[in-house]
Amino acid sequence: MLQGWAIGFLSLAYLGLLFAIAFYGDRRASAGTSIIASPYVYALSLGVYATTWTFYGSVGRAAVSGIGFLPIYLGPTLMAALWWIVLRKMIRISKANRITSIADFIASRYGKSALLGGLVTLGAVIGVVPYIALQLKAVSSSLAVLSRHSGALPGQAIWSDTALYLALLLAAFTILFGTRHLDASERHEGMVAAIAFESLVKLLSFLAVGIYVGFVMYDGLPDLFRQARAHASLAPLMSLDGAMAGGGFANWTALIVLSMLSILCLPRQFQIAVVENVDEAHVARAIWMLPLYLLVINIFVLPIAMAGKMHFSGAQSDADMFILMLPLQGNQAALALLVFVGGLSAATGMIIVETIALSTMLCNDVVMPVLLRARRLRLDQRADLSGLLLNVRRGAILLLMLLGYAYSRLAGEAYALVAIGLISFAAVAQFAPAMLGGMFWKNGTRAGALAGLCSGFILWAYTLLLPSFAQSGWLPSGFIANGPLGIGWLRPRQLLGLEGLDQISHGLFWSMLANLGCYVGVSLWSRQGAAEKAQALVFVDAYTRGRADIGASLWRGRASGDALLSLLRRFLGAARAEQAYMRFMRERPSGPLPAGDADLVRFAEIELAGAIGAASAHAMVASVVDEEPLGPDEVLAILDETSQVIAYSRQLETKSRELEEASAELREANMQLKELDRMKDDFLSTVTHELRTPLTSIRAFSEILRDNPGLASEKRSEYLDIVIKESERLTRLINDVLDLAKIEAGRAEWNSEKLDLREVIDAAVKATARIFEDKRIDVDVDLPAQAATVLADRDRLMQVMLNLLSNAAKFCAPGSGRIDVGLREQDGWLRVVVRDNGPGVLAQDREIIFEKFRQGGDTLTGKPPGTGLGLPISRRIIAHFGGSLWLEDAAGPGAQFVFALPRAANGDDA
Amino acid sequence: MLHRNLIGQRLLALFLLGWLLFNFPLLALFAGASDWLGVPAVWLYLFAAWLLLIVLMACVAERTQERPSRQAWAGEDFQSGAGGVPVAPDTRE
Repeated sequence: MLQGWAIGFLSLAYLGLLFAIAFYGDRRASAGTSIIASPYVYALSLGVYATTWTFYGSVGRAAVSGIGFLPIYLGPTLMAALWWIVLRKMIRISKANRITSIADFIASRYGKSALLGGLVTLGAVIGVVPYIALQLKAVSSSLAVLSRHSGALPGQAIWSDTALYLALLLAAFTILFGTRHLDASERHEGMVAAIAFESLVKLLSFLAVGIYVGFVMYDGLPDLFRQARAHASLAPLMSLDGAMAGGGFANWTALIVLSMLSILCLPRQFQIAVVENVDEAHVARAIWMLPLYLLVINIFVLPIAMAGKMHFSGAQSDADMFILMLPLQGNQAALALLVFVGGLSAATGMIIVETIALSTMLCNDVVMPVLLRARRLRLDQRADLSGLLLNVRRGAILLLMLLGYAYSRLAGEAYALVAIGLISFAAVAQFAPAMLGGMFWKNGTRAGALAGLCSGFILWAYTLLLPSFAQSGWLPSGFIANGPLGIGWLRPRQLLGLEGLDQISHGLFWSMLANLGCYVGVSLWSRQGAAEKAQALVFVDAYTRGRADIGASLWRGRASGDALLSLLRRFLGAARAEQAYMRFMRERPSGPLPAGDADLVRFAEIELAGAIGAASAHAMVASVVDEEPLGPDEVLAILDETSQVIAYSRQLETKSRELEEASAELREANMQLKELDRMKDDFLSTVTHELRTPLTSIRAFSEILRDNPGLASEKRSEYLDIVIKESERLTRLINDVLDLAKIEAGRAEWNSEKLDLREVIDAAVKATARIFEDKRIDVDVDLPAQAATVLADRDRLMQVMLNLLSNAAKFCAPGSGRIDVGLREQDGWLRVVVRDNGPGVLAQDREIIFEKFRQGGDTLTGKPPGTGLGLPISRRIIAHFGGSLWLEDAAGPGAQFVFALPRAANGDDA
Repeated sequence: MLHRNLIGQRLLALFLLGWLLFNFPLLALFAGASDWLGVPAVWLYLFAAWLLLIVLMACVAERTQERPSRQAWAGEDFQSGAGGVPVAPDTRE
């Protein structure tokens, strides 16, 4: 019903659109206004995880095992939660070391080992080529369904095979956008933009079919499931039974683990997530957006599988193609075309990114090391190798595409899509121990990584790859059932007689056991070389150490800038090399370049690593510089030095923080000292002022008496009285000052003894009785019956009481004055209250009156009599005995002074 | 710095939560259940748990963007608070 030419035209138009997007993306990138510098584009491009295997295969798997298709998407969701820890570190390491592929990552970690890089590349190619084949096969099957041909491809002539044309077309596309120029960081902005667009297309077309099936063909999902319940054969698909049929929960969990590792280790995921990453911060959004993408694209998988099962109950129908057959069944040609385009998106996206990633790996980790070694003489003579590099990559892309095509023709119909995909996943999962171990464990060694990878791959091939060959008829069929040569315990799907697991869990278990066991075991019993040790630190401490310190400090020797520059020219092209070199020279801290400089060598090596991989870059740089090899002991010494430097700088930090704290304290102390100094100056000037007043009057009256001998005798005695009074005041003042000085200097003599406070108060009131009588002031003393014992100096306490009483008397109006003296015990404290009914103390003067020479009231309108030292002295005395003296809010007018002293322990004896 | 470290740990906790939700034995609770709201219970459960996990991950991961401004506010609060506290009077009874 659909014309072949129309489908072909649509496919070409779609590829043309992708081409336009990629072209636009590249143009914007070279103009400096990137269109992929957005976390949304990053998250969408990560959707390259969903290939035709998701688009067609999930439905096929759901038609067999119900929700058994889900673990493949739950695993990445779980891994996304760990991206904050794992992926960010991978990005950080890769950016700092110009790592451009997962093979480079592992090779670089274990001492830039070319052997490891080659091994990883080989494993990736063997593991992933079937996966590429699967994409081609899915597209050609969908074409076959669309054009109502039978799906029997192997019988067709090769020139009419659509898969071949698709492979060639995609190779052209990939070569155009993947290898247009040699980028030092291997980034392809246009390609990423196209991939993000494709992710959108496949999501929308899947949703469109889902909505059509769920809400047009059926009356909502509950209706669909209700009708499905009528078929007894579909019941297992709607419970856990379908998913658990193969190996129960062990199988389920194995699939989750497998997909978790795959989304980290698949070459295309590494390419998109790490190499093409623009900004580390984009990871935060991808953490939840990729899982959301996977959730949405999977919602309708089970309903579509159910509907397909109900409509095409015939045995010959291919469940993988339900998503295309359902719209065709309903004569929805446009929808079917949309689905086809969605499937094409899924296939092309995967193939493009995967072949770019694999071609980089093949070029940098297999071809270049071999070329550089085998034909060094000839290569040395070529001035510019950048063209050669690009051609190697183009050739690799074409080769991979043709390998994929060949595999799809050869493997034919042996397997459903999902089985091929899972075998691929299990292959790339073998990279996980060496990669994750290398990022978080310093002691993983090159030997350990080699042993782990080799044993893992061998067991993977034996338990998963060879049986798939046997199923395709390339090996005797008895290989699976009876084991090689009929040895039962070597049966590849029941190795050592292990039964009860399905083939994927079984293969994953044995290969991972061997891989991890060998990696850890051999690492623990082998030694790291100098370069390995350095790289281990660069990787594991990627966050804490500066990028250059270790690499540079571990290099010793001589290099000429000219030789390195000409090396860069040969691989990067003259213009790019000189540009990078100028940038490096500009950013260097020191001016002229000393011959043989570790920084320069490191710069050249990293620049080269972006183009030809870490291992080859190391070999090339080593060929033009004279490196003095460092022994392991020397490396250890340098690393120790580095860690010592770090330890010292930490100590220094602590020291400087302590110093800062100390200086802050000192500053505060200094301010206090200055304040004290000022107070002392104030004190001195006040004292001299206070002393001068009585002295002046004494002197003045003495002069009058001397100059006027004939003064009347009563005048004379009046003046003499003044002189005597002023002298007394002077004496009192001097006594007070001395007293205060003594107390403050701590030289006062204290004779502490147990005494009864009642008796002291009584004595003080009696001593001041004269004053009260003179001013006709009522004194009311209220003392408790029992003894109030304190430990204090009697004379000093007397001084305080006299001070308070005379103070009170001073402020009371003559005639109507009244003073209350009270003593109370409260919570182990003895409180003495002296209260008068004078004018009281203004609120703002409450604390001032306890300062030296400061008296309450307005100093302008006149000073109350007294030295101004009584209260400060009293407060210090009380404080000395462990109590305090303060002014309390009085009920009514007047001031209320209170002091409290701790009650002595055995008070009743005194 | 402290806050950043916590994001990694929170996401690690969510990873463990997801692992529990998607695996034996919690998943086995739905082995026998039939339909909820007209759709298979185990299908509904898996997608609901999945969505819950994604929402929680989004909440944690998106915090990384807001962090600087939040800290600035906290700093201001702290300063005004310290200035406003009166000095406690030294009275003893």
